[in-house]
Amino acid sequence: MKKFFALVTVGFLGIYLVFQVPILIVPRALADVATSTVTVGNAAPVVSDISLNGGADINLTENTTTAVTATGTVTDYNGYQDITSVICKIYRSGVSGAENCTSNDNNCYQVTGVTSSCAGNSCTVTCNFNVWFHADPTDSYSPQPSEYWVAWIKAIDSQGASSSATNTTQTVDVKTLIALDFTPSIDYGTYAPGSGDASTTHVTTATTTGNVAIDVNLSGTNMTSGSNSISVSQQHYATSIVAYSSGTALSMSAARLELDTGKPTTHPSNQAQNIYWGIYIPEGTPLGTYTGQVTAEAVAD
Amino acid sequence: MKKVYFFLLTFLLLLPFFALAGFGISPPYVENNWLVPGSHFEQTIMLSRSEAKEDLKITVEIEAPEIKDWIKIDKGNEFIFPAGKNQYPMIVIVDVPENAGYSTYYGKLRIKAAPLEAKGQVTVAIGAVADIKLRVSGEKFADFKIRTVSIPDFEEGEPLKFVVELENIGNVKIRPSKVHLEIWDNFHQQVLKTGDILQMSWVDSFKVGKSEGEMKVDLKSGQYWAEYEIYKDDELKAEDKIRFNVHSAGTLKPKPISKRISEFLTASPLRVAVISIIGTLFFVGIVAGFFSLLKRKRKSGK
Repeated sequence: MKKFFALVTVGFLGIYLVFQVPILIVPRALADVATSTVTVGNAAPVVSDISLNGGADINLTENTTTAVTATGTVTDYNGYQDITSVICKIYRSGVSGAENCTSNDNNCYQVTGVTSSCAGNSCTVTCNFNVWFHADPTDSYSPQPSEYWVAWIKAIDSQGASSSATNTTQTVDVKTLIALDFTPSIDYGTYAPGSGDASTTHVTTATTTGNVAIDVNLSGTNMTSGSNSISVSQQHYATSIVAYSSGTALSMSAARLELDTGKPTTHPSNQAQNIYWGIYIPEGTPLGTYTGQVTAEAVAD
Repeated sequence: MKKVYFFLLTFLLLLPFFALAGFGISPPYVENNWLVPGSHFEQTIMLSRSEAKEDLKITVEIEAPEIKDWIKIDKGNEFIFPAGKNQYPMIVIVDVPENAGYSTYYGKLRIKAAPLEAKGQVTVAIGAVADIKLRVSGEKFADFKIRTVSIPDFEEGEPLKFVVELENIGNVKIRPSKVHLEIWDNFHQQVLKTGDILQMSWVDSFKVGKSEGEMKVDLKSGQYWAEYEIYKDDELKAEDKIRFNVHSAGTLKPKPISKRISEFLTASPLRVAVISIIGTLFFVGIVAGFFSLLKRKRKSGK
């Protein structure tokens, strides 16, 4: 029996040595025999799979910025560590210079891209833009209905080699935004019945805070104090200071007031127009504090 | 002094306007030129404001006498634009009746934003007007816009899945009629496989959805390129290249234990040889032990 176990043990050892020795020895022996030299050349990074806002159209935010993201994949065959910087742009397709456009908050934005989720030779690139409310619209209502917004990403490696690409499969529009800021408050003050403003002297400012020119629809309600009221038509308005009687009487139904303003091109908005107000309190109006509502609606010009 | 009191009492007090800062809508229209009787269509209008300090009461008036009953707002005609939000979506839902006549219908949506309470003052509400234009006809229209293209990571042995997120802008269900693929190696030097996917999944009319299709590939784990062409009938809608990853089997999804054992035992010829020899020796040992016991029993029996 002892002989049998000795035989089995020796057998196992023999098999182990037969298979393991070549594995341990052969590579070392080969390494000693040959020395090879390889020069690895530089490969420019490749940019692909670019997407702007997930392919969805962009809705801006009144009087401020909206976060818009472009993403892509950057590949460098020298290893993703070789990618040193990423430049991202979004621009209106018809803008002069295309990807070489000069930064302009109406039609051309540039930021630095951030790489993440790196694996193999590739990284995901994310570019975060803050797009202003006055960025040019490109939808069917806009002055540029045949245009769209393009995302362009350029990757640069440690040797200065670079390449770029755009989101060729998408047509992403910036949607028309109509928006209005209507300030400051108007203080009519205190009047005796049978008196009021001789002219429209109380001023408020209608500022366009979207990306297209607008007009304003004005309407209101009667002003009330308990069961007493002052007709809405006692409030008059105009785009300049005029005699009270020459102003337009406010009505319960919306009336369009043509503004002379255009599309904002800067922030804060550079498109604003004053509207002047006056009021007359009819004879016999009972004493009281009267409340009401005035509505100013933005409508596309 | 009495005169002064009398003078004050005859005055009427008008408090100042309470002005809301700003308000906007994007886009300022609800438009569809390809509706048919029975169509269901939804469009989002994004409400926005730069100052989000307080709740706003939103009131929507539909001024469209002929089609008022077709149009609904997902949140109702009165809702709150909550404090803290600069953008708030409002979905306009259009259901065209089956008996609607062929025509182009117009109207307006008046969207008004006002503070929740008048606060005892003359309140200024700010609003915006969206135009409605709905054309109903019997014409079929099929088209789509591509939003994104992707090839999700998959494991060795699995088929490649090609995913096109698209916006169906037509009034019939749609899918890409063909996706042509060329699979390239990691370095984009050599074409490994080409083929067409003809059976992409459908996306319903006026919806955004994913159209997916599969192609059989035999790729080892690694990174690859796919050059693709997406067709609508004979029209080339888009072409580009995309990077994708193939992972070793079992790295994305856990495998059954029996398969894992079998794969472990047969991973290399060396392992197969060693396992076979061990197995043989084990068998020989058992047989030898059995005969040894048998021999002993016979001896003790004698």
